[in-house]
Amino acid sequence: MSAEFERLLPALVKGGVDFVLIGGVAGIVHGSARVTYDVDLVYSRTDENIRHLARALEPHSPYLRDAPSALPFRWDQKTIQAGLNFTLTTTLGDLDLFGETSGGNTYNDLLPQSFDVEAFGIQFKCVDLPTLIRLKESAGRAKDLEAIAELRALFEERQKER
Amino acid sequence: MVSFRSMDTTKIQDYMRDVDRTLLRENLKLTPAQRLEKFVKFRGFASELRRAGENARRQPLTGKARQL
Repeated sequence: MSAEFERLLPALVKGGVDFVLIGGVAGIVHGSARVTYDVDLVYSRTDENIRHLARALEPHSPYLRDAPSALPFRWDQKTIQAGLNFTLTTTLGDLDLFGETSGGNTYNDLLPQSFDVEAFGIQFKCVDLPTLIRLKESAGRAKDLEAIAELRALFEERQKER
Repeated sequence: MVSFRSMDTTKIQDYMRDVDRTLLRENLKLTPAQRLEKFVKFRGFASELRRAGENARRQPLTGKARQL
């Protein structure tokens, strides 16, 4: 399923969900020319935010991506509290939710390294470019090498503009 | 000066040589919101092509297409 960023992000913001955008879509915010197929977010693990997250996504049928359809999966506060990171499919597209990134970064860790983006009639937090590069590097995945190279090139280009 | 963790730096440097910086420079002329809008439009275009490809694969092959 392709992501409808223009509907997915507003659904979360309007639902009062605190998150920081990371991953490929954050790369696009910074100027990346790479195509991505899901939205990656680090969400706050407070009780209130988990409640908001459960409510905001519930109308969009969140389900574990690539899982058998008969699993007894319920998207609610209890499930989110019991888990941490979720790779989901929703009617608005694929969504990866991280309580913590592979480098151990939480929402509170990333908040100081994020900035406000206004798009789709809403405002949301996006991780800054140096941190996005570090997140990709700390994941240590071979498939990210090209993406890291592009983000570093982007960083160089931005430095030249200053 | 910001330094990044050296994750197979040589390989990343190799990839960096092949990055199409013309695309990046064009994107840097846009605001973040414009970059997202451009991407959403591109995704619409890609989805349409994907649908067209799926439809084409469902059609029986005829004439020239069969030869390819």
